[in-house]
Amino acid sequence: MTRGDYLRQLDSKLKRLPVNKRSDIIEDISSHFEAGGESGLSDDELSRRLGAPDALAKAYAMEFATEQVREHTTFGNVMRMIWSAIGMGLLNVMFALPVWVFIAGVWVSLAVAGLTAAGIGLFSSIVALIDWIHPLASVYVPQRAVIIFGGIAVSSLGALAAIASWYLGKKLIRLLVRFLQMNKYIIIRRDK
Amino acid sequence: MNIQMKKGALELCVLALLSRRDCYGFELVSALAETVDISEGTIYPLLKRLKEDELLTTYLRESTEGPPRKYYHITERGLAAYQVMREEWTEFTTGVEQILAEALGDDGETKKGDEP
Repeated sequence: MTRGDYLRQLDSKLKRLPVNKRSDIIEDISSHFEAGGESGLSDDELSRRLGAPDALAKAYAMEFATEQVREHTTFGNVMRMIWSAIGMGLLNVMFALPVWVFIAGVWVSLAVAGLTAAGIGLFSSIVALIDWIHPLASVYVPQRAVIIFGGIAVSSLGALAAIASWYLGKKLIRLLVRFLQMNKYIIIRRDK
Repeated sequence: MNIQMKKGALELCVLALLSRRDCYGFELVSALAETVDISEGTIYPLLKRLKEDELLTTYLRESTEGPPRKYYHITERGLAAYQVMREEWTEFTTGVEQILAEALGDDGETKKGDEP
């Protein structure tokens, strides 16, 4: 493969990266060909040693995704990192995915349950409180005191659960990122 | 050799080479790929990450032949990371060597015992 073909193929596989990163990469690989040529190696030989442009692009994409997650741990960035790990054919990641989906499910249920409890508790205690101050004709509120204090108790517990799940979520994401990093071997086999 | 093992070693080797002197990409890559026997492309994304992590910096220097070259330079932080990794590596390989040596010793004994 000529260096032109190699760079073109590499560039076309790097579409998902920002333009400046992309041109940086192309510059690096292009000067690799330059310096390799000066030491008497042919483009073919240099291309072979570099490994397939596709594999190289995937390794770069994985590095970029990891970096993005470390800078801004957003849902989208984590998803892109997982996607790019799958793109690299990291089997460990694929096999472990159901486990992570399960963990995420448990976590989401905890968060939703906490928020729901907080909402319902707050709502019922407010209704009961309003009824106490200014009896509502349309709403029948039995055991006002029980509902006010019970509502406050339920909503605080719910809020606590929601806060706990927020921190738990952050921890889980860090764990997931560590797991992905551990599994990405950016190494590409050398063609013999 | 197992590809996972190589990956860990690769980072250490990059830092080791750069702890002696600054290198440009091709120089570094061809020296490493030769000894570690991996595709040369692998090393470029690694260099990028080490730079992001501020273990390395880069600068351009004129070349006698052709355009200026991007040189990699190890930072203070890189040197510190290198020391830590080297110690861990030595500790690890010493342990492995020891177990291998013991296993070899056992083999020898068994053979002697089997001989009569």
